[in-house]
Amino acid sequence: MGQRGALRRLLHERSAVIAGAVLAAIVLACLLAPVYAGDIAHTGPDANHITEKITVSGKRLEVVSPTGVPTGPTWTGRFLLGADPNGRDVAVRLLYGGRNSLEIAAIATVLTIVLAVVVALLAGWFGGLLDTLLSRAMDLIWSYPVLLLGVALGVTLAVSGIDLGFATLRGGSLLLPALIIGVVYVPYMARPLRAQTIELRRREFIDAARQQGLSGLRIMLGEILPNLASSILVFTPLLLANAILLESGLSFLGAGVQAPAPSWGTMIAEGTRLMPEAIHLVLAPGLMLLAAVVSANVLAEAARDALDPRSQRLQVRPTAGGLDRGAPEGAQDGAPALIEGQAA
Amino acid sequence: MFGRTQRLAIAALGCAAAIGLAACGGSGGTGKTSSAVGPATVVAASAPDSLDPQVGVTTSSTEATWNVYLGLYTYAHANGTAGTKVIPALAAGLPRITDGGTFYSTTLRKGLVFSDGTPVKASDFTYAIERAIKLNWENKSFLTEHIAGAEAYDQGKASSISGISTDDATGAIQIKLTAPYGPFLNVLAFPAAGLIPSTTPIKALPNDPPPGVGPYVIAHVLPGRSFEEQINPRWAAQAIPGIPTPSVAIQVKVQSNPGSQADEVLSNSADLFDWNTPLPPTSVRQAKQEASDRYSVEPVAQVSFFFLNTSVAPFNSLSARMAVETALNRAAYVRLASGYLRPGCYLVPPQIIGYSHSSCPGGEPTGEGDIAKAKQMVRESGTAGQPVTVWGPSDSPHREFVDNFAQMLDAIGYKANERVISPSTYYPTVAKVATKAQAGFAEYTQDFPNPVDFDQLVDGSSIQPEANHDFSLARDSYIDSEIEALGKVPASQLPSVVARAEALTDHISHNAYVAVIGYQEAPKLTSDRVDFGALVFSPVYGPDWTTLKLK
Repeated sequence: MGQRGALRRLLHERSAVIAGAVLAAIVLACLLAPVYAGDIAHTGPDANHITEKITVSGKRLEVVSPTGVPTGPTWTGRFLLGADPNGRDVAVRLLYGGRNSLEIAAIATVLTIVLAVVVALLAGWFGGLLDTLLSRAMDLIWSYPVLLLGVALGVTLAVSGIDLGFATLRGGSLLLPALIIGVVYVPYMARPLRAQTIELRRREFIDAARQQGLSGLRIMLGEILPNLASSILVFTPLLLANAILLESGLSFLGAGVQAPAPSWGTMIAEGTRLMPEAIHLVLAPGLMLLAAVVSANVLAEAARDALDPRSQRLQVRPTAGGLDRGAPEGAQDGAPALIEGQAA
Repeated sequence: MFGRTQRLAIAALGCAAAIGLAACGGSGGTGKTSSAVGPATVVAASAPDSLDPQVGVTTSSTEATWNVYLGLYTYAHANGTAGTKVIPALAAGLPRITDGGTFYSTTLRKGLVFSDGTPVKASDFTYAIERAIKLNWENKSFLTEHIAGAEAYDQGKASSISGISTDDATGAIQIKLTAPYGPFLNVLAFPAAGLIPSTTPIKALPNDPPPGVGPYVIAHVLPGRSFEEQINPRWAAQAIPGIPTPSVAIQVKVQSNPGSQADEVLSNSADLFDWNTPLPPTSVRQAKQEASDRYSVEPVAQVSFFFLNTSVAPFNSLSARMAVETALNRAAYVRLASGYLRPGCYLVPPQIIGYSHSSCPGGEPTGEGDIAKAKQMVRESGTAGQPVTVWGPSDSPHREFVDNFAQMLDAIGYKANERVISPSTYYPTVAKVATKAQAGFAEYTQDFPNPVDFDQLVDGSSIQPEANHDFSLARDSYIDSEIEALGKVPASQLPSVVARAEALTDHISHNAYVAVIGYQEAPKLTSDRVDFGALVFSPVYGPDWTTLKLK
């Protein structure tokens, strides 16, 4: 199937265009957070104004009341979406929090893809003992609920950090939740890709490549990997959406982004204490999270349809705690039915 | 005791676990009881950890048991500092203290009986102390470390406590201490030292507490849910001065949602709000608007502060510590605590003898801090730009306290980052010297109203590798020697050393070993039925149920 045709089909899908636009707008807004903070809100994400007063429509308002209730949305440049209990600008923190959430999700997604592809190619191509070892390792990770595993790793590493040998990640580093999320999602992608690799290995064009004397590495990279591209493309927004959700869940539980750095999850956690008096503290990050995750999911579905319009619906769906483990129809071991013909 | 909320949470969990073992409410089993009117209903956020006096330690427990299990001494039933005064309860008078403060002798009042009618004997005192030790009362170290022979008894090396001798015929009680210990009278005033019959089994009796001598009798315990305190029918005849005779029985209901708790009291479905929980902001507004004649904010003997580790940079510099003191915006912490914090700079709270009335070294405690001046001080100290890790527990509002403090450190020239961890592991973590926590949040609720109980938070002579209370690792010979000297002054004689205790408090503050943000306050909210003015708020145990009167 031609990539250009797939792109054309994708652009003709109205829901995909809207979802893509929403996601792009969120990403753009978050990237522009320093501009908004500096030129419009005139404050930073950690700067507190707890004992200050602001003027809204000619009225003097306390940023945080003496009983600790922060002001709600002012719909002006300063405190557009209100303040948090420490008198920090919610809109500014929302954008900076989005940067953190999206950065973690993006790094985690890339990490998952890289690890999953390596595992799938090695296990699917070589088979035998290596396949058994890698598959059992994937089973081991799979056997733990994703959120539980993430919390366990997050809480353990939040204080002491982790020494990777070539680098040390400190407790408060954003790379730490990215690493955790990236690792825990590897089986969800590696297993179907491995099944696809096994199926591709039996194809005639692979036999032909072997007979031409190509090495295993060249076949994997030059023949099999391009045939996995469609699946990887479909998985990418799905993984992104799930990584955002998991990051928020971990941060909500104190095992993800560490204070004072904002993330949508930590903002929701901080807001729950003041429900319902300051509902904007939960609504603002909650709606942002919803918009990002829904748009990424819609985009993923549209991408799948565009890449393989004949395929059945993928049985890999995002859930609150991770990806649905159901195997797609017509695929072995959870492999999505997106195998194309020989790579061009 | 650290982290009252932690303790309450633990208590709630403990009681929840106990539900499984609950029968349909073990009654007090303490004979006939009577109720004049009522009962008055108290809604509590969490159930006591135990209603057995020799087991319970949480504020929910002691609030309930201090008027049921009187010991030789108790606290005056009065508001404010007057309520911290130790008065004789079952003892005929204050003890005679001899041998350099190591020998206490007193006599039991005549004609005392337990709520079940059993006559009280002097040896019941020994039995209560032994039972507290055998049941591993959480604060038993106050007994084992100070009463001669108590440690040997605890370790099973002795069959009785050699330092306590009693005479049932005369009611004489003599206690020998290992060394002079001024707060020992406070120790004797713990409900855990409350007398119980010597026939009481040495096993925890949370659901069927033993009889005691006191205005109330505990009955109808539904673990984790409710219990009653009925008026002890034998109390009035005992005529112990200074301890009121209650006019109403108390029904305590556990209602974990503070909003619902407040609603019940504001709508007069319940009579007293649990002081251990702050009112939710909505309820505060409602209470101020609709119930201002039955709502007030009362002081609690607790101090909230940030410790500054004096053994590592940058806070090994006095100038750096003073810069923090200067920059503190205490008004911000009041807001973060939903208004339930009285700003202050001294380690000893206002209602405790030893509280200083001098001006704070960093400026007016209600002020918003002077960041510019503090920044200048940091520059001059040569510590600008240094990294500081601020530790704190992850529960609210402490997490927000840490955010605020870290941001303040950034503003005055440091590079602050945060380590916010689970409240259950927080104190053990920062109490390890090896953690080398540079700065962090701490709150301390009194064990008893005595200045040395607070001063020991900067006692360099008490530093130990684990479970260390001097988080700042302050080593100051003046503080250590003054704590030792004041620690020998009997609690009944504290008024004679006020000036000395205040000088120590000032010294601690002027060296900024800790950056005190203030003292927790608690809500006093009653229904319309209650005589609000008559209800005493004890600085030790909270609302004094013996003074609760229905109109």
